[in-house]
Amino acid sequence: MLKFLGALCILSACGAYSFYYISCQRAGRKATGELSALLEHLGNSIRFQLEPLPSLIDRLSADASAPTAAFLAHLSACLNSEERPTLSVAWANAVNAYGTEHNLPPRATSVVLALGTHLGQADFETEAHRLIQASQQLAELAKELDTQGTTAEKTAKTLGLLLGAFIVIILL
Amino acid sequence: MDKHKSSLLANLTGTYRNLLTPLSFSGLEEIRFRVGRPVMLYRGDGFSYVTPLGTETDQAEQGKICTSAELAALTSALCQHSVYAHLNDIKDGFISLHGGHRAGLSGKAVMKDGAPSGLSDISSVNLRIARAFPDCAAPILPHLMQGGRPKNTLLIGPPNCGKTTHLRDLARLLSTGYKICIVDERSEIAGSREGVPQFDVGIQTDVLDRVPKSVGMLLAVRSLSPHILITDELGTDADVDAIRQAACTGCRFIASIHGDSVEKLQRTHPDLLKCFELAVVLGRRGGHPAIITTKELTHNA
Repeated sequence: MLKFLGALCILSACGAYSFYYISCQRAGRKATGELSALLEHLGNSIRFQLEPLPSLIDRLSADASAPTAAFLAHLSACLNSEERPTLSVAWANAVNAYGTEHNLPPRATSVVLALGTHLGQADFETEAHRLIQASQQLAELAKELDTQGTTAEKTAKTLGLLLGAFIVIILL
Repeated sequence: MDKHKSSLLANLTGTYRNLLTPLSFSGLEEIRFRVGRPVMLYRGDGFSYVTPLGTETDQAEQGKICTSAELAALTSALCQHSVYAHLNDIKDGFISLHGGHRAGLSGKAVMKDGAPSGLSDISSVNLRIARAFPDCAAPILPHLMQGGRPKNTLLIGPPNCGKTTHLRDLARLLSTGYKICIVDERSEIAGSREGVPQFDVGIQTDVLDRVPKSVGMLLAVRSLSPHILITDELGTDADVDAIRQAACTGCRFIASIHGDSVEKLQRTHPDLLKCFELAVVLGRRGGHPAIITTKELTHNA
């Protein structure tokens, strides 16, 4: 009985880990897609309304139910902090914090970080072009991750269960 | 902390806000940041330097030296990290700030089609501190009114003698009884930022911001039907033509022009003077802007 319970625990732990891994991957893909949509929205707002970034970010972050509210809240808090950092520093801090929380894939993180180094320093056409280009890069990455994700999820589930079974066999 | 000081500091980066917070802003007119040189304060009676500890000194070598990175960060903060939203101002070499303050910029001009389209490598920033002087134009009012209507009035004076301040105060004082329209080509009179005048320009005052005077004056009389049009720094033939055309609608004018005296203007701008009935000459007395004289002009528009 004890052996049976032990085996069950090991199998459950391996299964849970594989599902946790899968959910992390899904969160990363979702965050990539949401950031892509946000960058497109920022690009269009700048192109058509010329709204300064701090007020645009404050306005968007006020909607707590928005998919990227956490990213915008990080950015807004950093920009309004006592140190008043430059936009590129605030952007990098927000990307890193949001990336850690939402398991943003490294490639997506580097695209968004690179965007932040030049943000807010050019005319509206260049700004909108940069934002929309970065949005498209993220959208393509999200699509690629989705395609790879289905296979990866099946592999993770199978490997998790097989690992559990292997440990149980060894222990028995 | 007084209102002007806190509104100015709110526009700055943390480095310079912390540096300037301990200082007294009394009588302060300008703060200059130049790459590789110390931060300087200009008051009506002279200048001084700011030490890294935020105290004033008259020794240049003790001053806090500005780095190019600090100046780049300051410029970015002044335009709210959004150059695209202030590009029209930057082309003209300044940024309008919250509180009516203004940052003058110098650096490498970016030329496009023979005209400056922006600035890069910013090498100095001049923060001009805005202060309203309520009722400074009150002594002009008794000379200005004739038969219940204001005369077409021209304020004459050299730079930095309060022409814009007097125009702003006249707008505020007259707007209790008249519809006023300010044609503010360089956002100096109303200090508009994001469409909101940063100075009190009166309850019945409309502001046409960042529009060329000659275009704005005609636009105003056609669409806003003002009793009085206020604008600054007249000088071109197009301005005179616009005033003549707008005068046909019965609108009155209050404007300013660079100069020292009516006599000199009669030689350099005779056509312009013919549009006005009253000249007010401004200057500085004891280091402060003051009304030097008022003069009725014999020729009417």
